[in-house]
Amino acid sequence: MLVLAIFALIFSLLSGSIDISLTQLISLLTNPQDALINQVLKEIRLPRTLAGFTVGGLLAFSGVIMQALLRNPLADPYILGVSGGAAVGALCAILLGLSGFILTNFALSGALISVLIVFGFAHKFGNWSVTRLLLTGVVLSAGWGAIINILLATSTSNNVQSILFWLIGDLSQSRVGLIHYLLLLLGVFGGITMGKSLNVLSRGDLTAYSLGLNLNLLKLTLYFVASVFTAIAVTVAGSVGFVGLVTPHILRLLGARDHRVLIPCAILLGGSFVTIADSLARTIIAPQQLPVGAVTAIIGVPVFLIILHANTKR
Amino acid sequence: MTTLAIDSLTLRIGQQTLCNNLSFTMNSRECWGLLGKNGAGKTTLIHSILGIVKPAEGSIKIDATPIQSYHRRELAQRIGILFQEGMNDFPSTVEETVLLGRYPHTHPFFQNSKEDLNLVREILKELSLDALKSRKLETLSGGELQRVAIAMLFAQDPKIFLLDEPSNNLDIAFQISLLKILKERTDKNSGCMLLATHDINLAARFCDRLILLIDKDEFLIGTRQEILTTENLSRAFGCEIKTISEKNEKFYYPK
Repeated sequence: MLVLAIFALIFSLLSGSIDISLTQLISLLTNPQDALINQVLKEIRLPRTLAGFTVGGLLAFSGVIMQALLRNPLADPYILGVSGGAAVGALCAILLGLSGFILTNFALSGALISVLIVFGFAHKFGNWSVTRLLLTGVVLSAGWGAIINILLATSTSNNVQSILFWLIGDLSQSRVGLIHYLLLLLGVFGGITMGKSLNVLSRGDLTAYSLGLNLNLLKLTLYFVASVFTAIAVTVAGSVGFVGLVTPHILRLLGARDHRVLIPCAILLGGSFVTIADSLARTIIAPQQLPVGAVTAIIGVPVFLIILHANTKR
Repeated sequence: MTTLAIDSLTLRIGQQTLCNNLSFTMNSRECWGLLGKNGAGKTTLIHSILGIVKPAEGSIKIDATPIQSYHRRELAQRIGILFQEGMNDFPSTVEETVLLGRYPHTHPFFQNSKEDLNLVREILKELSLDALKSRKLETLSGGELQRVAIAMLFAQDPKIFLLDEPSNNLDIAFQISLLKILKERTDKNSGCMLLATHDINLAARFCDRLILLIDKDEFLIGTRQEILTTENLSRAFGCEIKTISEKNEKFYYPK
């Protein structure tokens, strides 16, 4: 996985509307003399590559956690409405003509409001019922979807273009900072330490309870961690689809069942996946760009189907 | 030495009272049976001992300490339970699943020790799950899954075993050998067990003392001889139950 991640990062640095070769990249590391290439790499490619990797890692992490929490293999980071809330926040910002930092804050607030609404409703009776949580989240998602449609229908065509890119997931404006890398590291660390408890949780509430797991505390932690990670990923790049759903599945089908292995691998694979997808999004119809979310789905679907098929034959 | 003391316990689900003012004490090396028809409250009673269901009144103590005073992990080291429903959610192999039984014994952050793994291998051998250890749970039959759940319970190694229909899906030979193994275990580590079952004959063969749930306000507690009369059983199950005897052993059957 580590090898794949490094490969993905380099691949992404080399691809774009200006061709850069591997030898150029290496020589640049030793003596940076070519100003143009240097500038392209440092100011455009590197930040975008890192943003892609981070977003992918965060989403894949949340995907694993949501699936374990909801004990539903169809769960993805967006199922509880986090992305819908973020999207509504971001759309409002776009429609008000705001961008950059303020848009990010709008999206983050939208996501967090969504997290709190779901939490408030699902937690009301003191007990964490998975079905209740899932239903609340799914219904809220539908509500956000309706608001998005209303906003789309009433906005000018100029805005619709940027809204669409945001909804599908796009890395062209994305930058990540220290806090994002720290979150990823925290995810890896958390996965290794909490993995055993997650394995126990996967056997069902009753079994987990009888083995001495503090169910409510663990579920609460998982819910907030996954939601916040998703919220942050969505704020960086919009709702990049499919990574959070498919990455954990691919790894499970490849035999990673233990969460202590699954979580770090998912972060690496998710990161690599989005990085490669974004490289393709930049190059396929260069100099025009595709939104990365469209590419993740287009690559993800056949890869997943092939692995699933190969696995059932065995 | 281990004791489980239930004192004036009342359980309710919604408005319905399941058992009213129930008291009994299980001592070391005892095997108790819990009999009663469907919906009489066998599972609820077993769940309440673990704290899954909160009793409306009364107390449950292990070694004279109320269960609420134990840390969840300490409690899991003392009581283990075999549930009726399965645990077949995410893919996992037999060996991985059984190893989860060791969860209460090591801090969650740390890896399982070599001893844990060896212990699990011995248990797999004891329950003849050896050949299945790398199989995924979803490929197993009902009886095999039940054996995996039992193996996990053995790995947990509690003092008090609570068994909800342990013979579910098991063939007759394995039912008997399982209860023999359980009896050996509880005798060896001075534990005890409570066995909820529909099988009167199994209870008659292995249980020293019995609780017979008859109606919401009515239950009988006593020795096997006191409880297992055709009159009591017929009343509890709402159908006439008869016995035949062979070599001093009684067998029960519905008319």
